[in-house]
Amino acid sequence: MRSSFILKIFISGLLFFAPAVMAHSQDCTDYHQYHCAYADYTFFYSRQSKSFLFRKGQTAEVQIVAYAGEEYYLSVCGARKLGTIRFRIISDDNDRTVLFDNAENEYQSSVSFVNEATSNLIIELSTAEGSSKESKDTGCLGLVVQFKKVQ
Amino acid sequence: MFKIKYLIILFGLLAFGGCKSDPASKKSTGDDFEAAAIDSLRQEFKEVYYRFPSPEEMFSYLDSTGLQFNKGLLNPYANIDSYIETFYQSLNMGIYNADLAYISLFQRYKESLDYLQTIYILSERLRISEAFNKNLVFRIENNIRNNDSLEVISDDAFNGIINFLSKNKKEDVFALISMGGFIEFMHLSLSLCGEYSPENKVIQKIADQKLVFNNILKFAHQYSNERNIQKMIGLVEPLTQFYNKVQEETGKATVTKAPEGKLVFGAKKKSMLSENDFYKLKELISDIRIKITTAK
Repeated sequence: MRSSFILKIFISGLLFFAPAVMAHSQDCTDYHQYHCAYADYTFFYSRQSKSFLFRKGQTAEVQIVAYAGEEYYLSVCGARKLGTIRFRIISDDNDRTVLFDNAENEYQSSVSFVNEATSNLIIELSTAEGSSKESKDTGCLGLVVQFKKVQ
Repeated sequence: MFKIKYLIILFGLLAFGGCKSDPASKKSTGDDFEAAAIDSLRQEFKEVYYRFPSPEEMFSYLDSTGLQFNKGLLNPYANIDSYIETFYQSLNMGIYNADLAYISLFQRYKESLDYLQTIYILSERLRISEAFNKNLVFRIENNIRNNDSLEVISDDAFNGIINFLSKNKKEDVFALISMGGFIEFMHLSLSLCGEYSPENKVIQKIADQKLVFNNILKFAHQYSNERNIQKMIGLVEPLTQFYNKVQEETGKATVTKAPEGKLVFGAKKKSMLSENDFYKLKELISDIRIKITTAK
């Protein structure tokens, strides 16, 4: 009788905590490959593209190498529950000059640019703070990087 | 009763196992000062991901039009049996991947297939062959004389490996593969770029690869608790020291808009290789590559 009662508590607890455990084990590895928008066929896919498990209110940085004389296309996408995704492109130097901020461009989810000098660029990704820090506020976020030679 | 004890322990583990320690997730319900302190902590512990181009992308930047195919520069696939330790298997998988990227530039079917098979055998030995799509062999057989498809297939195969390693928390292996790929790319490009001259554009582009090396190294450092990563960092230490001394021309980053509305990012930033640097770099790369390919 007592063991059956404890078993019930165990199963209830399992059901209660399962979403939290599952959220942490959610696999986002190739999320960007299937959810983000791509540029036209003239651009090539870069292995610098990346997906991650993201939480509302989180900020992350992706450092990429951008070659001189190439045009780049960046696109971000994320689970709906993450809300609007803000991304900024920042120069990787002491000044950390903001080269692009999608918040100043109606939160557009993609941008293309021509790069004149080979440099490290920081792609800063962030989402607005959620109302709670529950596991339901986490979801996949993806970044696609594509490139082509400038004609 | 014994079973119940175990159930309680299991429940505890499950409940707390999901609580991944992450400084960014700490949130205060206290006053503004506390919130500001947490915000500052969040900035400090902001997650940073280091990415770098693949050997295919590096060759594409180099502009292969002037390069020649030289089979003698490749790591012979017959060497595969001398790679017993996972350290050398991983590094040489990167070496063979860069060789495959080089071969693909010249659309050589037989060599592409040989090197793709070598990578597959190494992946079996590293126990990551699951990463290969089960239809891979079928796809290769069906594209037996179609070089473009073979290139796509090899690219798909390698993307599969990267995704598999990431899914299975084997980023340390990915770091080793990437460093192997970088060393082989440098070996091939330095062997093919011709004699040094300040006007040699290929040499300038080779100098730019310092950023790729730095990003691979920063990525590797995130897994430096792994013995193989420590070993790899030690192996490339002379190259790290060399790059730290390479002269750099820097200037403020700029952003302008071209007449057609395109954004243009500019910066006076250039890694400069002197003639001495060029030959020193060649020597360092050759030394490291020999250690990797001979597994000594």
